[in-house]
Amino acid sequence: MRRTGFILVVAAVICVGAALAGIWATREFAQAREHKMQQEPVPSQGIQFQTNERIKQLQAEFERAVREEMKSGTKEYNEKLKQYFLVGKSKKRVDAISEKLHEEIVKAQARPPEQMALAVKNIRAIAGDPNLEVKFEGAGGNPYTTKYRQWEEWRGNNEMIYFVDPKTNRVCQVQQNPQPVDLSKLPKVSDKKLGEKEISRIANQWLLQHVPNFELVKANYRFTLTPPPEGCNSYLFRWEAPQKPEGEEMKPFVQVEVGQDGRIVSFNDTRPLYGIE
Amino acid sequence: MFRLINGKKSVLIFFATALILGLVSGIALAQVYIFANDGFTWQQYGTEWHTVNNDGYWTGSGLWKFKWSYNHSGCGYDEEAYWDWPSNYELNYYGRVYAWNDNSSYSNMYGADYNICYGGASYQRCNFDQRYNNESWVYLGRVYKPTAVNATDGWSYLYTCNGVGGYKVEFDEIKLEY
Repeated sequence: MRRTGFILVVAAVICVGAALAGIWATREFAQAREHKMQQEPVPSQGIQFQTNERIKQLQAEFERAVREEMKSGTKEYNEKLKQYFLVGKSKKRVDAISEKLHEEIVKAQARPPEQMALAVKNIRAIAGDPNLEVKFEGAGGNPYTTKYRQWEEWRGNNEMIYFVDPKTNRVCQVQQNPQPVDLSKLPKVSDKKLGEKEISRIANQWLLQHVPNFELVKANYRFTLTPPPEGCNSYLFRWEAPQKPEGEEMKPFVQVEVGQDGRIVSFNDTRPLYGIE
Repeated sequence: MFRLINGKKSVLIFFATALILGLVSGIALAQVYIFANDGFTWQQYGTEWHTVNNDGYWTGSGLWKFKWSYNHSGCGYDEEAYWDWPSNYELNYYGRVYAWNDNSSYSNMYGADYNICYGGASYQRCNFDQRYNNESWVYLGRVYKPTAVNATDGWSYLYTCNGVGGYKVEFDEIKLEY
């Protein structure tokens, strides 16, 4: 009896130990996984930033100005962001250098004018405005492909942003400007409500006109239509490739969002980023 | 019960069962911990958080989740999230910040409030209309040497102190690209 009791105590201890070991091991795994998930967006070490002597000089100037102003300039504690930020003249000094730096980087990243003209032509076609004013705002890694590939940011005076694949000059994403200058220009979907059939016709017609090989997309990609959820006012038409390209995390896709009034509010065609025609 | 254990075989069976049960319960508890979104760069404040498991941006692993909150009407905010990455992510160059906008019924806030901290001394305010660009990476801003992103359930700078409530604000993955 005493022996059995001893065995039960030992078993209970092992049971609790195993449970704790299980928790610990899975927690370690979870943290490692979280770490990996958050490491993924970081670019590979092989990226070569477009740079030159002027950019390097401005980078050094920026670092020096931040150091000096944070030490003896005017700063304020921001309760919301929980840290000190420069204000007044100190902020102006750093912002001015930052602006120059941006201009130099944009200059260094610009392609020959005749190539950029093709990008502008495609943006204007997508926007449906042959006179749209667009400004090149530099390039950087696109967020879709695991393999590093840059896309270009173009800002329209219609408060929309267009991301372009520089290799094909095709527009890969259209969205609202997150820092609009003129709020009145932000696209607004009116209260007018068209039927789903009419909205579908508009979406298909628009895509046929603007997306190369759209018939192939329709034939081979998986289609989903999402009507506006509660509080929203646009239909999402999405075609997703049947599988991910090797080594990739996302499937290439084509999608357009059409407002309930028939207005095109956003667009994506990520195929060029994967080298798909 | 004690009488049932009267031989070495029974003791071994008991041990094995205890061990298996212990391990299984450990993993199950730990999965709850994983879904609590306790990543090393993520901090959250506030009490009205909602979590939807198996939703949001999927990194290709078996577990993922999605967080949202009802918006705060008027000035200020209730819920707040921070994505604050280590200094080795702060490359001396322009970085673009993107937020994943999931195609879900938990995001319809047209004035979502985002701020990108950069350069060690400044921040940029952003407005994110979560009704559009679903199922895609939405561009939030381009800054020199980004250091952290903050998002709240309050109104962005474009709609400061808007008294409208009842909107759902999504908080999902943030991506940094150089």
